[in-house]
Amino acid sequence: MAYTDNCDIYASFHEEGFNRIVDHIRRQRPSLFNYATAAVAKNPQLLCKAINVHPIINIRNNPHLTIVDPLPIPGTRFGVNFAAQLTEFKIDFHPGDEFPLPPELGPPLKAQRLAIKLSVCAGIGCPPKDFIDHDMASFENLELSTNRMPAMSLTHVEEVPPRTPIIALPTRKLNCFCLDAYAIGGMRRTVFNGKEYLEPFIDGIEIVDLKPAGLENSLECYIGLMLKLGILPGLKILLQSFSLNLTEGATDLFPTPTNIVISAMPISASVPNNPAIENDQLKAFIKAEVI
Amino acid sequence: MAHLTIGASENTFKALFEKIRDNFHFANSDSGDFGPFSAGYVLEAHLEGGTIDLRADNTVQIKELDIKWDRLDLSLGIDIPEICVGGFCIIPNIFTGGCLVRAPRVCIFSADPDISFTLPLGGIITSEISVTGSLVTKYNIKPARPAGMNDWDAQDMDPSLANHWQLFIDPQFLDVDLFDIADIVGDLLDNAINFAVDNLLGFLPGWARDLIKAILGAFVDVIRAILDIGDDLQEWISDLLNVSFGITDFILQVIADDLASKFPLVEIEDPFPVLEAAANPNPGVPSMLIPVKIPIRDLKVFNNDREMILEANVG
Repeated sequence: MAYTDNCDIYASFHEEGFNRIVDHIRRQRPSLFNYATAAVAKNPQLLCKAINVHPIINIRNNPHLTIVDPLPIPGTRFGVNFAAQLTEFKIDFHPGDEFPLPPELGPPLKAQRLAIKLSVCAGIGCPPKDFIDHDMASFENLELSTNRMPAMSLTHVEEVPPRTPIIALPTRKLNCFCLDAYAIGGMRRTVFNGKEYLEPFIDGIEIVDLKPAGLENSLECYIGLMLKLGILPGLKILLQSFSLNLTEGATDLFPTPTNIVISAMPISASVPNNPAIENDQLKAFIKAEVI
Repeated sequence: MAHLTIGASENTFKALFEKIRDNFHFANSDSGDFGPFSAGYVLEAHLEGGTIDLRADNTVQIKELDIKWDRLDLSLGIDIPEICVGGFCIIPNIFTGGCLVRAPRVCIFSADPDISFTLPLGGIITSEISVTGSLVTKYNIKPARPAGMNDWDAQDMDPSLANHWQLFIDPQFLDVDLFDIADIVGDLLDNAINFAVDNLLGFLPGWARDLIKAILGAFVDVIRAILDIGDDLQEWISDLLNVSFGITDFILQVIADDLASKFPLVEIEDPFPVLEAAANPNPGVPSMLIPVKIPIRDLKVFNNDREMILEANVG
């Protein structure tokens, strides 16, 4: 059977290729996946998981992580150091064979579905108890004197008050934990206001081994609602035809443009799913009209 | 299984071929002076006919594509060296040493060029091209790139020393009939029939004249086919043996082979940038992060008799 028996143009992308692309991005742009305070950035051995980067990152002196403010302690000018790392992101197109699904998501993966696995490691750096009990006062005086606010000009008018820097409390290690989260879902074609859209959807979310169960359920519910109501509707794509001028660069030879108009093949008995999630691939069946 | 697969049907290629053929229009003119000779041309052409066929042996055949020369004016000029007679002194001035009366001086061939003519071949001549070839991919490493240079440094060089995947047309045989006798005779017959029917049978209603033209047109098609047999036979043998016959075809084949190795249709940078350089989220240097690049492996393009397929892997 030919790829284009039921369409003009066929395109497919295998899950292995997708996962390799994610891995290349993770190694070449680690600051998208790793977040930590400046103190942790200076002492990367504090991180919950060592960051595996492409050699070019060190050659070009690119950051391994994005520096963020310490986690504020409400009512104080202090905060605690922390790190959050997305250590794994994998996709698995039906049939599920890249990673096992937790029983809560009812494996095996159903037809025309994809699964996503996320691994997140994070930790907060708690200052030593001795430090809080005995050294806090001297630390506070020292930090307040070195982090004094710059003098403001009399003529300087600022509508927003200047942000007070959060002073990170010192730490020797982060209290790290890692969580695996899974989501299953797919893509469907829906009609809004008479126009057809391609919309991603979520069937279920599972955060593994988070205790107590109420916390896990609450988090899963909250993340699910955030995805279903907030994020995924914004990711829906209007399925409209678009035109490509193939002779754009040669107007002297082709005074009349040669356009190819591309649109999604309509759902039919021969194309029951478009896009289709099957054979470990995401497949698209495209109609092409030359005008 | 390849990570990326893209297939395009033969019908899509046929529709594309027909539209590109119909939209193609070529016009050019030039002239040159080569001392005693000058030459010039004015060209205008469009394409007609022809078929495209994806074949099971991983080749694509474009057959009998006609180049219709709407205007083909070839000019030649000859500049003959000027010849002058007369002008000699008949009565010299013995006092001043000058000349009182001179013979009249006559020069010929003073113009440049002295003789010129234009051969208007537009509307008469049809040329025909048949080509069979395949698409091939090659991996290009710039010779100037030092061994061990990383891909980011290579891209930053001016000019860039980045590696590329290149897509070439590899013509396996090429047949060009500069004068497609069958079509030239056919067109002349068509024009003669149209002229005769419109002028001699002008009293008939339009539908009757169209009917006569259609009947005679079928007769002209038969003549075209008969006159084309020799060329078809040559193309068939060429196709069979993958050898181009004729001195013109041989020269064009050499040029085509040269083009097939030096002028790619498409170039894809490898590794391919998927995320552009972005601002460093942290204060300090560097101000920009490197672009994210994805290595492309095993890129290949091939076809069977139903579709053209591109496959590639992510390295």
